[in-house]
Amino acid sequence: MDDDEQKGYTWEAGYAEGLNINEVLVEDEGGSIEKSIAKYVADSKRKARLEKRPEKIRLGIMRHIMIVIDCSRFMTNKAMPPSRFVVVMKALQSFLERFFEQNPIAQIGLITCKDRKAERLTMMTGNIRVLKEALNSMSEAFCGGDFSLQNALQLACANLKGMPGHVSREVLIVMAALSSIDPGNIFSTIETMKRMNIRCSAIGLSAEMFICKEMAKATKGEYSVALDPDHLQLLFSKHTLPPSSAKSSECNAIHVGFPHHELIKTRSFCVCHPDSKPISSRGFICTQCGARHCSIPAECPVCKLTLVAAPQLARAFRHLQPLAAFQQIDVTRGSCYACETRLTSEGFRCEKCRLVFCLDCDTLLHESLHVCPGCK
Amino acid sequence: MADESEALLRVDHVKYRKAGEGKSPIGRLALYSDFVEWRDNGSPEVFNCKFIRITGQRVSPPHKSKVQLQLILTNDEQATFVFLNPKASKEELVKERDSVKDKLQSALVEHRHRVNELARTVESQSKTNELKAKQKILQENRNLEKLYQNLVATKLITPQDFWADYYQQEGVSESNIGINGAFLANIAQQEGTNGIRLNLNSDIIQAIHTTYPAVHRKFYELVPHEMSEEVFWKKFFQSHYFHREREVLPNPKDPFAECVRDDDEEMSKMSAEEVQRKRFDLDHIDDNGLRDFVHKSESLPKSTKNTLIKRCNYLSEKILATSWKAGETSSSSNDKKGFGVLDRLVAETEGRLESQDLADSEIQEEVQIVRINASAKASQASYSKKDSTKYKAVVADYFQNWSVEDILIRNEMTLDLQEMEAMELEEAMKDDEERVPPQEKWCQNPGELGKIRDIHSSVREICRQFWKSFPPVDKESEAKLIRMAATLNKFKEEHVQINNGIDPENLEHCSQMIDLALQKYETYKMKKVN
Repeated sequence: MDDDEQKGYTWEAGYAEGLNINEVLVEDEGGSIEKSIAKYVADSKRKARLEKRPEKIRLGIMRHIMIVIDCSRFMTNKAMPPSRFVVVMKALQSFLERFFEQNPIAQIGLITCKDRKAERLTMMTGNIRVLKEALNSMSEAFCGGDFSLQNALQLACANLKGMPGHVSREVLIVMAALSSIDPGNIFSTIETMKRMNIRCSAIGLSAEMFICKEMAKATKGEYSVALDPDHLQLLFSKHTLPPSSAKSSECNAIHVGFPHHELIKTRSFCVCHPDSKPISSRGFICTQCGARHCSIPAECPVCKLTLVAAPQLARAFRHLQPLAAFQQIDVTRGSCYACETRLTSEGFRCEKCRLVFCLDCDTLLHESLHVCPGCK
Repeated sequence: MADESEALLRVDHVKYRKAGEGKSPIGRLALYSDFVEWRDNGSPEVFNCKFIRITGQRVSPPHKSKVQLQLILTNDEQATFVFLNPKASKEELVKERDSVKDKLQSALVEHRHRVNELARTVESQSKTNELKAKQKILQENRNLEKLYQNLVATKLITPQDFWADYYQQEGVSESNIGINGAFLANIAQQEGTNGIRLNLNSDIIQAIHTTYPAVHRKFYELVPHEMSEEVFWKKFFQSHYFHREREVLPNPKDPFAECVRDDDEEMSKMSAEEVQRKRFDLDHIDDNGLRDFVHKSESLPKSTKNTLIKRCNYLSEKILATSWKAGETSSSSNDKKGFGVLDRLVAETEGRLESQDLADSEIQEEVQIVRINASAKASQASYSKKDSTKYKAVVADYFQNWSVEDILIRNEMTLDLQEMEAMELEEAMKDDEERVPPQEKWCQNPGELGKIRDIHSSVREICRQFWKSFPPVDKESEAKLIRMAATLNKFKEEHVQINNGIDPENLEHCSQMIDLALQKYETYKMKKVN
């Protein structure tokens, strides 16, 4: 055995030390780094929970988002089992539900990018059923070819162009490809998006790309790379929060209708079920044109008036004053203030009223209710 | 064919060899962008030959005393011209003839290019495509078809208004595609018994044409006159041009020999250009300050890999160049291509002081503060201990035994099918006269129900057109508004009020909608008058 066995160059060790690679990506006995990735994802979840969201800033509540789904051959890769495509579809379905819960008056449109061509899958709509059906109609066999960032951005731009100035325009790109084949200068497209105040964000599935980072930085969007399916869900949920609106966007008074839920006494057809009958004898009559709807929030197709219920708008209001994160403390006795279960190891304490809650109540309060029951 | 009055080239003292009897006359040859014309000096004879008839040219060999140029036409005809300027020497005549030949060649290539483009646009005539697409839309959507029949056919709504909403050309797809950097490598190959079989498809052909404009020009020169497309591509792949890493001199008969020369020229031009992106410019980021004083070693050692490396770089340069070609008008003349844009970032990074990095950055400007009166206190009822335990027990019990049907939230805004069925059962038990009977009971047969449904959707469509033109911003939308109001009135009279066998109760909702719209129109008219 030679004691002077060379373990590599000295500068290598110094370089790796500076990057903290050994601490972040610890290899276990088998040489796999899965555990450290899982730890990183759990860490980022915790950080997201503790993040102090800014209060009382102007937010863009009427959001119009175009989601670009990469349908290139990289999506069939099995790096995220069963395949990236399947994982993304699932994450999108749950994202759509949570998104429309938190943003009742927002609209989403879908774009796919296959073989360097971008095509619009659905138009901008607030109807979650249409979007879910469109997602279900896509299959993995559909994927192939290369991805084109410029075509996707240009198509999104063409669709967002007609929107009034007071809506918050966003593009969310889900990208597995490692390259982009563009017909022209991608940087000029990014400048165009910046000029039109369209916020472009991206979620990467394979590795971080410089062009996506540039795009996100220039348009004030967010770019992160998903490490595993859980992390992907976490990244999607970050996009359910409304972004702060830029100073330059106009703010107008918007005409909104508040129809009552009432028993409809005239024989009528509803706009949401053209081929069958309305769901119930109760419905909503548009305040401006008189068309019948079964559910709100909706945009009346006849007069383009936004119909909402006051509680739903109030739900959007809570984003302006988010509930601050509770402090995690160790307790051994006592019970949760909200549900009266015995507290075992950890509890979460509200900063203002100093009352302690259990983990489930803490999650419920922060994700759904946004109010601390103890504070006055 | 446009009649160009501008001749590209005129040559005097050219004899046109006529096939028939008599001495061949001397005249003047003129070259235009669409045809070649020869005018006789003496008689008013004119020989006019359009480019589509010319398949090729031939020149007389240099040792012959006469300097001739022959045009080969379709139908195996030929036209021969002799260059006979008495004052010019033979070399000058040869030069003259060659200049005519070259000019004619490039004019021919351009012409063929234009003809091809024209043919392609005629094929994809947008009009017929549009009609087909609209027909398809109507076929796929029955409701839309019915609407179309009822409203556009009866002239209640103009076709433009109808299609403005349902047929969209913009924002549906983007199909300019870029070129994959590996397209040459991706040409599928199959090892056959006698060699290799390459599969070409239109994508690859398009990529080759855009990346190598020299090949594109050659294509138009040679196809379909001298050789077919197949033969062209066969020659392309066999030629020395394609396999140039082998150091063998090109076959002079190879049609691509010219391309080799052109490419070599371009390559040397490219290496003489300065580097666009500062970070890639090794001279700029070099740390070696003594570089200027150190004698640079001369040319690289000649190895077989050099040509391959040069060609690889050249291919990458050409592919990048295709995206710059896209005809974008840059807003300022200082716009650099592609990565040059990042020079600004490099300058920023290099000019940044470390002290600025350590200072706190101001992010506040982007964010606008909203003043919310958060002092509204929630009212809290406090209960006595006995009451509170009683209420708590109720709630706990409720959650122990809950099931979906129990939670009938009457005031919930979104209706769920399951909840609604339960609710309807409940309401069916109630004897409510005001309730609307189910749709089956509205009329005698489903056919009539269909008609009623059609009327309702027609009304909705007309109302939609009406509300779309509110508020009128220009003369056009104002005219549309007036038109729509008239249509509404007309529809009301014709279908809704007149009892053509339909129970008016069925159309009450339609009248309501029309009335609301007309009311709005009246208020608008009144406001305008004031």
